[in-house]
Amino acid sequence: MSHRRHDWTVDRQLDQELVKACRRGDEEAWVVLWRRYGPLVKSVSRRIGCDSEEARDVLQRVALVALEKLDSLRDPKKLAPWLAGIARFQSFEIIRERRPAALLQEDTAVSNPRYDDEMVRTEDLARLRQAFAQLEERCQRLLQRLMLKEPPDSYQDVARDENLSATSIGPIRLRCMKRLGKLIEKLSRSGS
Amino acid sequence: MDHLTEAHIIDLIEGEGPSEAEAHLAECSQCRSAQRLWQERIESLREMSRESLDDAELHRLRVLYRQLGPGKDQAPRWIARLVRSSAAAPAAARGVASGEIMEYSAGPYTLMLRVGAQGSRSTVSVIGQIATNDRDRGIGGTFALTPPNGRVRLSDVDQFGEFNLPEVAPGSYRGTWWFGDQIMVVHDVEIGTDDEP
Ligand SMILES: [Zn+2]
Repeated sequence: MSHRRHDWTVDRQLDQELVKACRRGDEEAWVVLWRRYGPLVKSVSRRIGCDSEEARDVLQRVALVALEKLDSLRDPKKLAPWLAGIARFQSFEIIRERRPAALLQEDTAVSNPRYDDEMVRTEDLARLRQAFAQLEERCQRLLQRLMLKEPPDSYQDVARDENLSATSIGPIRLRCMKRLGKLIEKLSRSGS
Repeated sequence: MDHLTEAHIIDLIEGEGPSEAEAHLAECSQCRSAQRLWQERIESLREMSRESLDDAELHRLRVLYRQLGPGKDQAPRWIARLVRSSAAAPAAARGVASGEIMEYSAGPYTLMLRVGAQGSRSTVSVIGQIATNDRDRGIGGTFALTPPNGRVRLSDVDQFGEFNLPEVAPGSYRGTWWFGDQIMVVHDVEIGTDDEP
């Protein structure tokens, strides 16, 4: 089987609509949900100390629990923090099962040294991902190609593909970032 | 100089800010923490972008949904049925009680469940084994016990087909095993304990 990675930034269907569709039996909505939040689940798991194989297992477990419990999710707008919370729990379970010697405490997780000082908490990560998914699609594509992709695409390439002038890319990117900041604030205020 | 605007800060992160902005940053902790916040956001997004799902992962999730999702009962999956019980009289041929071994058959697989040692707070451990005679089929994956309400319990299934779920509360469960594309479901697994009335 090939291991092509799927773009995680292409859609902006609202979480509550995705949840509704998944409850109805819409398989494509289920796939969109995981393209969007699978990377969140795996990142949470990696931060807690799971290796990449374990993170894949955590993803499967979270998906099963989500499938079992989706009907009991009272506020579908909280899908992202809900999934991140399950991911956190399942990651500690997996570490406890497989590496009992590690004896991890929830608050002293083996974390990537980069995050020792300024560890972005699980909820922040969920909020960030949720906010990103609410950006207009062009912003998602632009930020993905200019800031997230490693190495990033050139302004020229992005301008050509988006039918924009190369000089407008910088200002648009900035607007997208500001918009992202606003969306994060809005989600923080609504307690999501 | 006034505090840096968000635009300045973002430009700085990208290495495009004017030198006065850098000079301000060196002196102002407030702007430095704003910069750190944006750096963390960008790094976190990169991190998630790196964890984008591949075909194999999405395929497994699709299979899970097809097999266990709503309204998909017509999809092929193996429903395990009880074929043997070590209990003298298997009560209505249902599930597991302490000490008994229950053997289920599902497609090319056999599943054995028994209740093991007593855990804390009147819980028990559930020990299982999945086996097959079909050499082309592997063993592994995950086994889950799902109560009608409450916490789903999961265990990895090792390469010998063994799994162990500690601290399972007595009650009625649905068992689910999935491995790659394969799914087995066991309904009405009754977990009991010796000291029940
Ligand atoms: Zn300042």
